[in-house]
Amino acid sequence: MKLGYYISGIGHGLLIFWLLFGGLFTSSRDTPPAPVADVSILSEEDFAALTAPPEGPPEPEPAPEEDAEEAPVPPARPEPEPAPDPEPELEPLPDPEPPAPDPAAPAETAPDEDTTPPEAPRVADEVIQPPDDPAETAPEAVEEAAPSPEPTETPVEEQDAAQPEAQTTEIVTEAETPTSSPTASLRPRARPERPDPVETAEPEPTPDPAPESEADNDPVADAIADALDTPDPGAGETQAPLGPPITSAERDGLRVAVSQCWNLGSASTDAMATTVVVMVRMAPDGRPQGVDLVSSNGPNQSATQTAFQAARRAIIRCGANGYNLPSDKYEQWREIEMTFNPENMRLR
Amino acid sequence: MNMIRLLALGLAILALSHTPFAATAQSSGPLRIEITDGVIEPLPFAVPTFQAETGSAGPYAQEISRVIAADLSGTGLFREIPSSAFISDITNFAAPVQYADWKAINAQALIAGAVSEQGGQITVKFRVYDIFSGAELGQGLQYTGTIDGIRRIAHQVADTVYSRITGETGYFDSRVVFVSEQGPKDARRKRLAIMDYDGANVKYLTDSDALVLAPRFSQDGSRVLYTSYETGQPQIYVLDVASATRQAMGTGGGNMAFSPRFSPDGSSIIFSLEQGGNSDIYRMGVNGGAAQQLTSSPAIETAPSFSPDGSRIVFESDRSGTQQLYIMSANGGEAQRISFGRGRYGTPVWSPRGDLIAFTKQNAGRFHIGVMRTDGSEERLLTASFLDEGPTWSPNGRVIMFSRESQGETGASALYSVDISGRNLRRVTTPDAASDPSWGPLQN
Repeated sequence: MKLGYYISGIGHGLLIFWLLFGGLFTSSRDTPPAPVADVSILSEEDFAALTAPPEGPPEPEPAPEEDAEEAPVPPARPEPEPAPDPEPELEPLPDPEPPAPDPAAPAETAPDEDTTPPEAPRVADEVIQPPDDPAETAPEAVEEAAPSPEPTETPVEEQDAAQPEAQTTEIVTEAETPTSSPTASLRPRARPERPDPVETAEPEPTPDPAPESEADNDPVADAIADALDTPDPGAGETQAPLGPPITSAERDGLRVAVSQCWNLGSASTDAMATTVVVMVRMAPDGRPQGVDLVSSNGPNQSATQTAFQAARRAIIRCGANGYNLPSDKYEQWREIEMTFNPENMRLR
Repeated sequence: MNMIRLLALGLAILALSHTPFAATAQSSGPLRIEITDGVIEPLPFAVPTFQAETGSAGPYAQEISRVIAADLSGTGLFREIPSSAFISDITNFAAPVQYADWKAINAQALIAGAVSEQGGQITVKFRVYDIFSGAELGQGLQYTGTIDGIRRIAHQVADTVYSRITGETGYFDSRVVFVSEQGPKDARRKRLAIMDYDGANVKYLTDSDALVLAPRFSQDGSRVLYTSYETGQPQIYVLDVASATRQAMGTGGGNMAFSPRFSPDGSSIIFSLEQGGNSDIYRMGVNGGAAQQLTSSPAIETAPSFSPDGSRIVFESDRSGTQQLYIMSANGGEAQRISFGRGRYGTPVWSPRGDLIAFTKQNAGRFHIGVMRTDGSEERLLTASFLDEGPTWSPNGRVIMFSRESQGETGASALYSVDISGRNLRRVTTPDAASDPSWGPLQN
């Protein structure tokens, strides 16, 4: 029992000692705040002068760094995507002689196989949704762009009248906290400006962040604006050619068209039990340009080869005159991943 | 505070900048569709008459082309496009193929070849093209043989074409041994005969002095087991196909022995032996020796057939009261019943692929040829007639040949084949009535 008292007493003693004298150690570490007290004593102007310059440079710096890091990332993904050639032997190029496509294929196929499979599971469920959102935002921005002169002018006038009053109350001390309200007011300015650069050219996003940061002198707003602006041009690039989403009727039409030529009458029993996934590269006129094997669950290579041949034959044969696909949505069916599942066919 | 603000700012920037980035990545995904319904139709193909590269090769080129076309068409998986529909022809074996001309007539496969003859030797070159893919299927091949073997060469070419298109081995270069029958039903004379799978080149292996039954090929096709009543009661003989010499196996020992079949490695045989009204299954070395009894049931057990790996045996038995199918170890022991449907099941034969068992089923006055999984599941009846029996598998396990007897006093037995899908039921042309077919292996 006494041992417990001793331990408790020692522990409490140490705690009291640390509370009394621990500040000495911590204060030595917090030496930088000490000069801050001095600065507060000097004057508000000096404090504002000291705080403004340090905040400006550090915040814009990380913002562009991250933007610069993230900006190249999006293009890095699209790069592997467009090249979906899988296997050299299965190269379905229209060249009459197989040896010609074979040598060229390996260079393309190696990266394609690596990139396409991981993307498939991720994007599969949400492919349709992304194009919808950007498609909606683009027209909104365009619509706002036309009437923007009138609405933008009115709010700006109101803010100009209100801002001086607010500035008089507390100007510098809470310059950072009111940033939330300025950022909200800045966004409407940035949005109407985006469609213009998107429509005209890609490099315009870069000038957008510059004037905003300069005008506001708010690092938080600048950084957020930079973050918003950098992805916007990227999204604008994909949004513009995507067009409206593929409808279920258009999708079904394509499915039926390919099904009519998918003939398993000469397939082996193993091939009849093999599901193959192929990537079809489409030309703008609706004709298949190339068919590559993406994956298969065949019990052996022969069955996989036969199942792939039947799928490729179906795609090419029924697409000889071009599939009936909307040309304004070409970006959405430029590449089509088709899964040929013969499970129902085996029962016939 | 400044540090906290900077940290919060960095997180906010990261989140904001990632949101549209993710949207960009998602929007770049391809359109995806799944196709689950297609068509089951014969694949259209074209076989222009092979080019005769020597003056004397013309007739051979013509015959070889016709045999190849008949082989492929006979499977039911292919449909030949008549030459009258051709837009262009193959004038030179080495010339490039005009894919557009063959696409226009919907030829999905093209077989082009050339034949030369020199000193009695026939050389056949050929290539297979996938028209709509605009590429050759595999590489060109060349076969060489004698003039009297041009049908075999043609079968080999057809096997290669079949394999390249379907993905499974062919069965054209194979032979069938069967019982050739002559005379009325009450005085029918039977003898063993052998022929090509398509009924050509029939040769008789025995005379018709004694009744013969149930010939069975060995795994390599060099020998045939069969049952003969030469001594007055059924006994098992083995016959060498090349020399047509036969030898009694000595399995009976004074009792009736029947339903023999080779083990996959050819080292032993299994058969039924009747003793005192009870028949059981026995196993014996192909060179003789003591027979090992595998079953010891008071029921009638017969028609044994090895699995392709030789580890199990499927047989028929009425130990349950009705004739059903059972599977046991190749060394005997406990048997497991696998057929539970209505009617009686008999003459089971294990598929060379090991996945199916073909059988004869009698139910409601009709006979059927059917297949089921080795566990008895997925039973499918492929035929129905007055009398269908004795199934035998093609070497690739895709086709079943059997004998069908028509009704009435004038009815006769004939050989038929059917795809395991139940399609393409065809009669195999034989010079006389025929029964009890046994399909041998590929010869090449």
